[in-house]
Amino acid sequence: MASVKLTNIKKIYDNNVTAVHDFNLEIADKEFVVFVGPSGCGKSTTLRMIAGLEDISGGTLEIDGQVVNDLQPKDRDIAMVFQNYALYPHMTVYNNIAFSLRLKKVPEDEIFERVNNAAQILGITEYLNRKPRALSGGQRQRVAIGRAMVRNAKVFLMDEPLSNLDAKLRNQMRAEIILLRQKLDTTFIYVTHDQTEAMTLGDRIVIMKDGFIEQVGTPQEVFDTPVNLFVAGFIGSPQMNFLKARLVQEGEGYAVDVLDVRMPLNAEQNEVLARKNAKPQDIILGVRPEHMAVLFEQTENAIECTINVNEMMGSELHLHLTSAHDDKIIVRLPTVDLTNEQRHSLSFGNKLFITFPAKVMHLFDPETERSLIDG
Amino acid sequence: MSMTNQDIETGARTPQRKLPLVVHILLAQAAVLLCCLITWYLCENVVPKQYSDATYRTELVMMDNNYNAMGYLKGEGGKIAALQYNKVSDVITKKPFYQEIVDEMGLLHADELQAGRPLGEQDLTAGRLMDRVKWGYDEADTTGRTITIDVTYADPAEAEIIGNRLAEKLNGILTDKSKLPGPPINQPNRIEHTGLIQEPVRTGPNTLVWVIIAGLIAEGIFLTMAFQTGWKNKVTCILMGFANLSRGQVLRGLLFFLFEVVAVGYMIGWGVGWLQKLPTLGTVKTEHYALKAGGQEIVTYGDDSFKILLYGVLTIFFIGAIIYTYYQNVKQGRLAAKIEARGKKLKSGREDLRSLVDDQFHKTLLALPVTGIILFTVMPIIFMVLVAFTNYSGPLDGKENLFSWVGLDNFNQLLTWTSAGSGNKTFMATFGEILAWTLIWAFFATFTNYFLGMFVAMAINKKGIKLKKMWRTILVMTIAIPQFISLLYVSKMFDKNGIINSFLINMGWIKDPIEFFGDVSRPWLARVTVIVINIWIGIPYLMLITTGILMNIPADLYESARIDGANPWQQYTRITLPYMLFVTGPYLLTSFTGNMNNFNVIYLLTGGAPTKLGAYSAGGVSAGQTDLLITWLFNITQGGDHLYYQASVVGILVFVVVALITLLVYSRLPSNKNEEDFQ
Amino acid sequence: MSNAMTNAASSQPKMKQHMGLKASRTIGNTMIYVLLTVISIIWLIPFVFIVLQSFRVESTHQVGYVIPQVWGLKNYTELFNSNFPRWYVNTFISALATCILQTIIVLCMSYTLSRFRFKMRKPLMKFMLILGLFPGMLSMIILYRVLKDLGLTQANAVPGLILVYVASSGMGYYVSKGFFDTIPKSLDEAARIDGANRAQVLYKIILPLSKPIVIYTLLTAFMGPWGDYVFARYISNNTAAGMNVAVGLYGWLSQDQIDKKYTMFCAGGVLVAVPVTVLFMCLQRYYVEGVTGGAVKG
Repeated sequence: MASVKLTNIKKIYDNNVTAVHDFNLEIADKEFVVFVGPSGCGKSTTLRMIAGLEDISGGTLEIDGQVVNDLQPKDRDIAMVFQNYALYPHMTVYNNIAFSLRLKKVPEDEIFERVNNAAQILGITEYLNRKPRALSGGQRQRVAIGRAMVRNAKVFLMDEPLSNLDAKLRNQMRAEIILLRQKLDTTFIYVTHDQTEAMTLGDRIVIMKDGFIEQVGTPQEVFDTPVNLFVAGFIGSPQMNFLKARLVQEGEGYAVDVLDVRMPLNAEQNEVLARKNAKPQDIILGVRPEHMAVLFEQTENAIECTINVNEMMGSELHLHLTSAHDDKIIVRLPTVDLTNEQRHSLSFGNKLFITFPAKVMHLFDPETERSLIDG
Repeated sequence: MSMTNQDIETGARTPQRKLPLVVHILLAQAAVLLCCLITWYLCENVVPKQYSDATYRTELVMMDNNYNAMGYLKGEGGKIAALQYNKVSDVITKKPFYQEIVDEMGLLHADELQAGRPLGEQDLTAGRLMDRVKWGYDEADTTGRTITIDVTYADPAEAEIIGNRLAEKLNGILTDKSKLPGPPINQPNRIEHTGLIQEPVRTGPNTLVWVIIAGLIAEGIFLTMAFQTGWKNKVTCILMGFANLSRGQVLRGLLFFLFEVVAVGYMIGWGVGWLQKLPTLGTVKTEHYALKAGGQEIVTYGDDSFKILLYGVLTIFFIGAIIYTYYQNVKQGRLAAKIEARGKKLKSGREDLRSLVDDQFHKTLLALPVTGIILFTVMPIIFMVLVAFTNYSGPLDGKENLFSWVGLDNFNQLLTWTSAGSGNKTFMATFGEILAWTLIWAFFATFTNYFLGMFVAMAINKKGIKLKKMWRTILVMTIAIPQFISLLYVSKMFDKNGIINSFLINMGWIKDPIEFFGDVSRPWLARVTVIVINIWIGIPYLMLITTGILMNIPADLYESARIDGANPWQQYTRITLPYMLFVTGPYLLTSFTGNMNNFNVIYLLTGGAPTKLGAYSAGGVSAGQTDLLITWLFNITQGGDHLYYQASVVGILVFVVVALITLLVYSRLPSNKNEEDFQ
Repeated sequence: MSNAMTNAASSQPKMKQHMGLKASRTIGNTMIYVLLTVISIIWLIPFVFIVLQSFRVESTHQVGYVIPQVWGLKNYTELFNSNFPRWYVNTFISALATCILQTIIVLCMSYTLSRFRFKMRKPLMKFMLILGLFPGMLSMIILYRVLKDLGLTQANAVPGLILVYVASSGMGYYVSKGFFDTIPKSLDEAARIDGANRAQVLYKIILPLSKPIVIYTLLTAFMGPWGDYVFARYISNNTAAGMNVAVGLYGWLSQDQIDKKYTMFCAGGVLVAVPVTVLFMCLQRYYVEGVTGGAVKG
């Protein structure tokens, strides 16, 4: 059993700067949780507090039901993979991995077995006698993982392990981490600034900003129902489009006036808004690029835009559009079903029409930045 | 052994008091009052009181023609001046006179002392007797014929007898015509007894002082106690370590308790003694005496001022340590109470030991180095600063001599110190000169080496220069050779009959040998030569340092500058120099202050020469033209009278100057980068 | 590694440009070669002279020429009839003991200041900075008295000297600390997570990676006592048996002794310089690494 529970965890530095405010989270045994957020949001700090590398200024940290605030890292039964791998340069790969076992006075033949096991899983058996400086980035990465793996720790911490790799390797390693997770079957806490990693790897994602938790949820949840502007903009690539709009009442329900077009809301949304007694107000409307439909002719509820930039991504185009009110909108358009004529019309200055259904509309209060429906 | 802040911040509830705080404080005051009363009682009734001695005056009145004998006693202006100027005073200022009296009156219990009893207060040796007798004249008697003999002694009756005996003896000498020729005596001289002129005065114990001290200590202890909650924490205010012991922390508790035992034992046994003597730095002189006239000399040692100063200061620091440990003791009690209230366990002795190699490892690692620094650097400095307020010097050194506090005298006299001999400069004038040269020297020594070293490094580094390693190795080799050899030899090379002069004469460039270091009329010759030689010493090292930094400057900076059209000089001033200064800023500063205190180079090269006449001479050693403050300081301590207190004053002034410079420059340095950036 | 100084140091006056880049560079380089040769000669000359002078046997006082007229080993053999061997042994023992003890103390101090963050850290560093501004000699006066009472002076100068050298050596942490700062902290953290306590981190992880700085510290600590004059002079206080080579040889150059001892001084100097220099040259690259790596971190 290796659950992790953080209650009211705070980190305040000596100069009275608060890096982490009131962090509350319960991580179930064998769950893969990702802390994600921009630089300086406190995700690494929180991870290091869990590891015991930083003092906890306030609150309680429990691992497996035991309060571990005062325990040294080595007594917490955790393993960690660092961003820069932190391999011991003067030891061979074998000894790097064996280091922790030797400290525990595990017998040499058992060490041999465990190290070779791990090396096999990670595909680094041929490097066991080399020193870290003779390895490439990806290989070092695996050694770091191996070193952490071999301890059979309760909690596996990873601090931006893929940040130092090039794009292609990163994708590859991501898949391997997922495989690893299946093999290891333990609790993972993973820190990254890359939302793609977060989305693909995590059972649940914790999105942080400026020391606060913005939202906790499964990838699907944070993607479909972001509770505020920040989360909505952070998750998803390219970023969600934000447009100035206005919430109005239309008949029994509500509608959104955006860019000279009125988009009615659907039943569920109307119900939530009615329950909250929502009044007509200015809002920020968020719609993801992939949820916008591109039309080549004007229809009802279609917004007219001008094409600015056309990025060819291969299977789809990312079109950067400008609205009549100078809003910047990005749209994703699959290329496979386009006619040649349509393709040629997608050049600078030409007009295009976009529309979207009610269910993909996210409404945010401009001041509180919270979602009117999901917040 | 400390506990983290979070122990306090988790809002643990402190155990509540049973009575309000005010009551506790009042109880504490009552306890303090009780302590004061006890102390007062002890001082007045139990501790034996001490009294100063009484002074009894006997007079010898000269009659008639013995006035002429007084011709021998007359000082200037017809009045007797402290009996200084003639054969009589030869006698009464020397020990044998008193030794006779001691022997005759049996004032020294020779048999007991021979049996091994140590010298006591009541034993009068010849020297002590001499100290107790003061000869003078009666001012009221304008005829000037009354000699007064004041004897200071604990027992007035004894004083009277001794005074009488002394008067008789003096009379005997004055009337002995074989010793003092003069006109015949008509009337005998009279001995009169004036009586006590100084009553015994109570000197100790000083009740008031002791009561105040006891009151303060008691106040500290009991007031602290009042603020503690729980009986365990209260008891620990008196018995240190109790708070830990009663809660099962045996290791910590025992350590605290042991400390208390040692501290109290030390203070009572030795500490108080040293502190009492500290204000006077000792009053009891070492005595040489003989058990009888012409007998073997015995020495009893009195106070050693040096030891008193040293141990007195150490005791004061120990008191500081006691207060700190006491504070820790109480604090731990409080923290332990809080932890217990939260239901958590306290650290056991084994856990404490384990943490000493883990999270508290820094304490383990620092223990030895910091102790060494405190004992061998901090304490001596404090001591020497204190010496500046005394008159400690060679003649007053050694076990047998006492020196004393002079307060700010030394500093007040700074401006007026002048050494013997006319035309000599005052202390301040010489100090100013030497300071000026020290600053000039430090400046040139630092920056010539810096820029020339950089220049050589750049030259070797230039693309296209082969054998870089060889050039560097040749220079680096000179660093290896111990400096004193290089400096001494080179200084001899510049001698009058040295190699340089021979070379110059042989080449026909000069006719007479140049006295580089000896020519008093051309001090700047010596000074410049010293700077030049220092360049020879310093360049290899600077070359190494700058090479490392130069290699770190990214090459693309230069490439883009070249493309932008910068010429080499511009590249140097706009890229190289700013980068170098930024990185080496702190180093230059420490180099500058280090050069100000660069003893070896100056001393081994010139010894401070050439010595100019008329410079302030301290204890027989004159300051030289190439002397730095520090070499001058050294000479003051080495020469003649060993005027340590002057050396201390100079040392303090040096420190002040250097510290000022450092502070001024350090805050202006732009290079206070955060170390964390590199990690 | 690109030589950053290539372009900055080339000094081409404009009018020579028509000669072509290569030619003008050659002229510049030639000038530099000349300069370097001159510098090398100037730097080495005094030592060459000392060696030559040490073989001069026709006279023992200072002369105006360099090459001996009569060569011989007399100066060296004479050394063994004087107090020189005693001084040499004294200095060697001091150097050896200081080397080991000082290294331990300095490394303890610099490692702690580099790795640990504790409340008194910055105050401690500032305090040591200020302490260093005091003229070190002031302490000698009272230290001498205390050591005398302990019996560690004059003839017994060596233990006293070692004590003085070693006790305060913690203040010289600057270079080693700079070196330790360059080892990434994440290594420490990884080891701690792997189960090592701080002490194990030091000797299993950090020390193996610190060979250059350890050797640097050992080397500089060893070389120190060979060249120290002030402290040795103070503590030995004119007792020949307790002096080190610096004090002893210095004495030979005093007014009254120099005429008889000048050449012996040269011989003594050679015997002191050669072993130390050889040792230094063998370990040279560590010294260079220490100086360039740790000495001037920003």
